[in-house]
Amino acid sequence: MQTSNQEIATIVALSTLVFLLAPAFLLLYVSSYNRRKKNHIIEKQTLQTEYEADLLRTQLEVQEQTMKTIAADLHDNIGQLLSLTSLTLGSITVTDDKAAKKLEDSQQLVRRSIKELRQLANLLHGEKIIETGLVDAIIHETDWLKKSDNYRVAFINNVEVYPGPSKEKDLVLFRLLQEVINNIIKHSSATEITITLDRLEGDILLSITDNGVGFVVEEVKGGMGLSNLFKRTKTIQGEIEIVSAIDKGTTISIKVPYP
Amino acid sequence: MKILTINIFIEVACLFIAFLMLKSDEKVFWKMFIPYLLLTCFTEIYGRYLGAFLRQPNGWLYNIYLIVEIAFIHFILLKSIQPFFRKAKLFVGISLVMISIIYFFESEYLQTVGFYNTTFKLFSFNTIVLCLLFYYGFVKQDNYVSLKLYPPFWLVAGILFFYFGGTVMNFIYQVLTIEITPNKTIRTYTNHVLILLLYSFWSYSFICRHQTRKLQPSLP
Repeated sequence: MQTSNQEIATIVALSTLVFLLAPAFLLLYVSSYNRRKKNHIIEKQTLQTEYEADLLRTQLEVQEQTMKTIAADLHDNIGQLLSLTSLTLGSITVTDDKAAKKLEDSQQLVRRSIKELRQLANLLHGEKIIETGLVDAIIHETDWLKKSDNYRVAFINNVEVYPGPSKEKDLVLFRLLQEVINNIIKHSSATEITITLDRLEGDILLSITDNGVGFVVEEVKGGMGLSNLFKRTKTIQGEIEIVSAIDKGTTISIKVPYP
Repeated sequence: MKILTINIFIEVACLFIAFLMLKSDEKVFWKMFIPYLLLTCFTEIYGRYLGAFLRQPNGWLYNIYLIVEIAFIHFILLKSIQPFFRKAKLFVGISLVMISIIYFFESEYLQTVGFYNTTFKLFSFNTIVLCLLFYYGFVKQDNYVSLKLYPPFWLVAGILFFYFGGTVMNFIYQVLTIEITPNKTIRTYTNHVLILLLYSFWSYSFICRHQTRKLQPSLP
């Protein structure tokens, strides 16, 4: 009888175990399904990020292409018209001294316009700008700024031996610089702009500081302008830091692994 | 003969953990576990005292406790199911009505002596259905929830194990009354296992709740 009871107890224990396996497997299934949901969400987010990065890259390429076309049109079409104007003015013979002086002045203005137009076309044509390197491109940009006489511009190059080059990163860095300068001109009311280029181990650090009105970074961060800067920097695996305060100017630092 | 059985020990341990983890919880739902577990421990201790020491019938005590148990378990399941189903109140309401009818039938019409087994069987069955409804709703939702920070998952798991196991035990009740050690039947041991499962999962859910509140203070 004792043995029979023990046998029954064993059977019951095993049966209990089997029956409890049902809810156990249910919980395991729910847990596993939940984990798969998590992986699916992560994968979806990764795809979304990659898609946005691809879209941004395409947008930037289209922008560069458009600017290239405009630069070419400026150089070829309008440049040609101005050259013809200069030739035509040069072929005029005048006897009157006053008229001759005015003609000479007009020719000078046309020659200056041709020169400015060439510089502008060069600034628009991305590949051309960085042909001789980022440092030269920045010098070009600062020269262009200084012409307006509204700003005291300083460029401090602390990179003794320029690594690389990496044309893609140079172009993106230069366009970022142009965008930042654009923002300074539009919003800051600054009178001094300092551009610094440094080398930090495997990175290049480009900093732009102005003495403008400054702004509250958190309030403006969600806006399109700054958002564009962040997105563009990300396309070259860079980091951007903005330090600004009201009436205390702004410093934007862009750190990029280089080359 | 000891008054403190393994079951009572497990319940007191769970009450202790509930007190530690939930005493400063803002939500009334979670705080209610403390008085409920206190009542459970009291019922078990007094029921044991009546049955084992005074040799008096204690079915009436468990029948009164059954009302509280039914109400509280349904309350837990309602709060757990509500995020997934708009008609959660309807499902829980139907279950409560069914159980109330059988309880009334057993107490007034049949005047059952001893524990209201039929009511308990229906209650167990309905509880299992509501637990499965919870897991169905949980799986169906689109968003991911970390199980480590989701206390209802563990609460309902404990309830499912206990009442599923209990329902199966009811089907083979005759076999379970066989004594295998002095004064202990198979049912005693299976009950220990089910009680341990229920209160272990509940204890973990309390710890989970406490962790969640620490990490996300603004959580509702």
